[in-house]
Amino acid sequence: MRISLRNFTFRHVALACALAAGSSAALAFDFGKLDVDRLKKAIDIGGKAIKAGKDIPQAEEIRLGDELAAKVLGAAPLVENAALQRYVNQVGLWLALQSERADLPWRFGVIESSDVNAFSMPGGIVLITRGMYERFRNEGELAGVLAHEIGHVVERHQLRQIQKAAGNEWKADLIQAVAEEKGNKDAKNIAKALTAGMEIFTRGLDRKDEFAADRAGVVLAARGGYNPYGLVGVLQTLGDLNAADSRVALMFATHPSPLDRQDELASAMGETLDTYAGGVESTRRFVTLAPAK
Amino acid sequence: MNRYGKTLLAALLLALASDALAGERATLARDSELRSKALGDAPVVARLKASTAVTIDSRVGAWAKVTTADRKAGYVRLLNLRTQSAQKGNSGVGALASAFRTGSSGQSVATGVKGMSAEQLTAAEPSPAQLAKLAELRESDAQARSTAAAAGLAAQTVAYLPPPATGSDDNGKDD
Repeated sequence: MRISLRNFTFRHVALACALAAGSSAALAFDFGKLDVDRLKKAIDIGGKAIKAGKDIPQAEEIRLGDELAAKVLGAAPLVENAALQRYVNQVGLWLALQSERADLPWRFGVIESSDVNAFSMPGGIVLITRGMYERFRNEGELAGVLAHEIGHVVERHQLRQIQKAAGNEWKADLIQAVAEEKGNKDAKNIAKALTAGMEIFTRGLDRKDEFAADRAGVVLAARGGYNPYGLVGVLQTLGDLNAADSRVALMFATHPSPLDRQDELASAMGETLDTYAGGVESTRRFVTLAPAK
Repeated sequence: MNRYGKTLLAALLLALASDALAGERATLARDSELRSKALGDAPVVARLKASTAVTIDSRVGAWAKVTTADRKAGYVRLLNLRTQSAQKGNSGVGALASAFRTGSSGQSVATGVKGMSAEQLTAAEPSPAQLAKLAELRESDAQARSTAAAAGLAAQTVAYLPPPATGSDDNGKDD
C-alpha cells in the first residue's frame, strides 16, 4: 500500500521513503526503483542543510507530519460530517493565514474520540477530538484552540522535541540510510524519529512550549478578528473537568494544569489584548455537535 | 425550512446551549473588583476577596458576568476566575475512583472504542486512507478568506506577547 506522493518532487520522495520505512511495513517503499543520481543530489542538499545546522527542510517536515497524522487517524478516524470538517478547515486556515507560516499545507480535522484533546503535527496538521469540540461554547473558543495548535507548528515545537529526543544525528542517519540504500538495516535510525514524534502526543511537549503556544494562540486569534479570550474560556472548561476521568487523562498528562496555564496567560497578557476583546465570539456558521453517547 | 424557521431554530438551540452551560461555579484567583459593566472603568459594585466563590452566568470579551453567594451581580475579569473541578457532582463527567497520577499512562482500563490512551496512540496502525481524506477536506486560502469575511472577521495587526517577566525558563530558542 502506498500513500500518494504526487505532490512531491523526486528528491523529496527519496527522503520521504526513508521516513516511511520506519513507520510500518504497510508503508514500505521499494528502494530498488529509485533514481540513484537524483537521490545523490537530494542527499547533497540535505547534507548541506544539516551542516549549516538548519531546520529540517519544509517538504520533509510535511512528510513527517503526514506520517504522524496517519498514526493518530489510525487510532481515531475523522468524524463523518463533511460540513463540520469543512467549517473547521475554514476557521483553522483563516487563523493560519495570519501566522508566519501561511505557506504550509494546513489541514484541520475533528476526530472520533470522546477524549478531550487536540494534536498538531509538524507541517501544519491539527486534529481536535470530538470530546473537545463538543465543549466549545462558540467559534471564538474553537479559534482559541486551533490558534494554540497553530502556534506549536509555527514555532516548530514538535520538530525541536523530536530532534532532541531522537538525537541530533537522526537527520544525518536518515540521509545516510537513503544514501546507502540499506533500507531495513538502517530503518532503526529512522524509526527513532517517528517514535520520538509519537512521543510528542503520549508524553507531551515542554511546559514552556505549551505556555508559548497559549501566548501565540491568543495573539493569532486576535489577528483573525476573534476575541482573544476564547482560549481562556476553554481553559476554564478544562479546569472544570474531573482530572480522574479517563477522557482527560492523556491531555492532563501532556499539558500543564489549566490553572497554571491561566496564571501564565494572565501574567503574559495583562490587559494588552483587551483592545481586541470586542472581537468575534459567536457566529451563525458555528457547527454544533450533539454529544456522542 | 424557511429562513425564519432556521433563525428561530438556531436561536432556540443557542438558548438551550447557553442554558445548559449557565451556572458554572468558580472562585476568584485574586482580589477583584466586581463592576456594573464589562468595562475597566465601569462603577465598582463590590470589592471581592481572593477565593470568593461565584457563579459564572456568561462570558463577554475579557469579562465574565458573575453572581456571588450573597446575590451581588456584576462583571469580573475573566482571567481572575478559576473554575473548580472534581468537587462538584458534574453530570457529564463520570468520576473514576482512582486518583489521577501524572505520568502514569499505564492504565489499561477498557475505555471503549472511543478512548485514546497513550498505548492506543502508539499501537495504532497508520491510516493512509484517512490521511488522504484529510487532504481532500482542505480548504483554499480564498475560501478561508471569503468565509471569514462573511462571518464578520477582519484581520488585525497584533504583535506576539513576550513571555512573562517572572518566567524563568524561556531561553529555549536554539537559533
